[in-house]
Amino acid sequence: MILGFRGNPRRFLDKLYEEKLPLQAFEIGTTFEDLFSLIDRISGLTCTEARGRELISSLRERIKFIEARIPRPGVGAKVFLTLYGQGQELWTCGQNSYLNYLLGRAGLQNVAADFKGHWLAYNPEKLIADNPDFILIMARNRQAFSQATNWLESLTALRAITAIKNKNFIFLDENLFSRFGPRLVEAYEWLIKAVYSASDSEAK
Amino acid sequence: MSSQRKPWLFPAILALLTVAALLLSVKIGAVRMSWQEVRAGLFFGGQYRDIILHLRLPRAILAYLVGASLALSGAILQGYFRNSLADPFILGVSSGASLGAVLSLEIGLTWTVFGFSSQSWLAFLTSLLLVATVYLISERRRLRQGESLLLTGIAAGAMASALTSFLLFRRADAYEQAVFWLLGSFSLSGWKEVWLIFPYFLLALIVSEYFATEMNLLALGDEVAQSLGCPVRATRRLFLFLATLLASFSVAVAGIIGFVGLIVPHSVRLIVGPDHRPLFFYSALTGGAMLVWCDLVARTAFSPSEIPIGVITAALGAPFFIYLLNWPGKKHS
Repeated sequence: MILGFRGNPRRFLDKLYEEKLPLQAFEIGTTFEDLFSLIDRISGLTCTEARGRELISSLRERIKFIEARIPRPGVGAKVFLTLYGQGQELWTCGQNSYLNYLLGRAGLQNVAADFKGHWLAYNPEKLIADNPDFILIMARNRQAFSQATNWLESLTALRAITAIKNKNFIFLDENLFSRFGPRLVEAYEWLIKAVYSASDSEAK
Repeated sequence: MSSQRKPWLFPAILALLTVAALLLSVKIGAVRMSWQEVRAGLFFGGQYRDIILHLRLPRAILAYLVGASLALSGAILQGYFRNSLADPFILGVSSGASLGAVLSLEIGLTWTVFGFSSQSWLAFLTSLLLVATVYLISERRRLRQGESLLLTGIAAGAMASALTSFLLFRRADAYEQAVFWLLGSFSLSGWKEVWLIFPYFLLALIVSEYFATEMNLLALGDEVAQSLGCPVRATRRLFLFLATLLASFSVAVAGIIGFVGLIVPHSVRLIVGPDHRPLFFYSALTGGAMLVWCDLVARTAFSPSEIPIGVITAALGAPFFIYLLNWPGKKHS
């Protein structure tokens, strides 16, 4: 069996269909429910329904446990998530991305949430006007994260942004956050731990 | 021609367009502000000081300098090859730069030196390396060296493009990362980029103006130019060096911006004629003004997202160029 995703080039998927190979193509979702439905479908196709149900149930439990850490009502801190290593651009996640869903679910306010699409190169002027409290940096490792923070701090134009002034940078492991799969729950946990422990230490 | 009847008309329109472009670039953006707020930001601090002084103003000036550099480089190379289809990237500057930038993504380099990213550095160095290699290969051929240089440049450019495509094919996720760079952008450009390119642009403009008469002689053919006392080989080397560095500096600070270096000198030649003295000067000024307008559209049309500026230069430049080519009553130089 071949599992394909919408992110794969369409012509490859068409070719596999033409060759009558056992291909199943899936949409990438945006929510945890989409993720569970994806696991459910794949486990059905691979005759591992019981393991699929087990995984979904453990992920649901995990989410419940993680969300107990979120202060209620949501702090609503303004955050800007950016992907480092994209040249001179501030790439961020828009309304249709699962990352925007994760931020919203974690009680955070994504400054780019009003903009359609998965990814967009954000206008730095708009970022200054939005003035986020935290900048979440998706980087491949700590070293790249540190380079990213240095780069952001070196941009004179952005120096007045609260997150930069207070050095409120949060490292998001690219490996966890850049794939739509069970590890998304791990990513969610990482996000909540990082943001709320940073908020607590700032409050103190 | 109108410029012969009213010689003040073209400089006047150009000055007007340039001033309007620079003023609007400082006024218009993702964050709306009044003229009073712009004035306050420029001279008295104010709420929008950082946006005006550290984003909009350096960006507008950089767009002007890059546009001017590309147009001047194009004008030089069109004269050098005696071919109005030549542009700053004809010898492989853009292909070499793309290769360097994508290579930097492929290796995963994320360092910065003097505030410039590994992508910019590698792009700058590979573009220079490629043109130097092209020049050294073609120099071995004494006869019809210009033709050999052009063809070697095209072949080397194709080879570098093939390597770039291969690297992008190997890492599909790098494509999104590379696309803005491959199509050019002034996002987050600051004063350091301006100070990097400004001295070299000024020097190149002065030197090319100084030797513009020699370029006029080269336009008559190498033998004629030689017989009229022009040191052909040295002049050619000088102009090639100037044009390549202008293009490489532009690519290093703003990525690859096509079309400006092709259409601006060509259009200006239709207005001021083939004499390289006014041609170099007005090409630079027109290229600068054009790119400031294009950047204004690129950053405001779909705000807060930005469109790569190369898309705008091609979308606006191509129809205008077609119109100019078919301009009723125009004279080919």
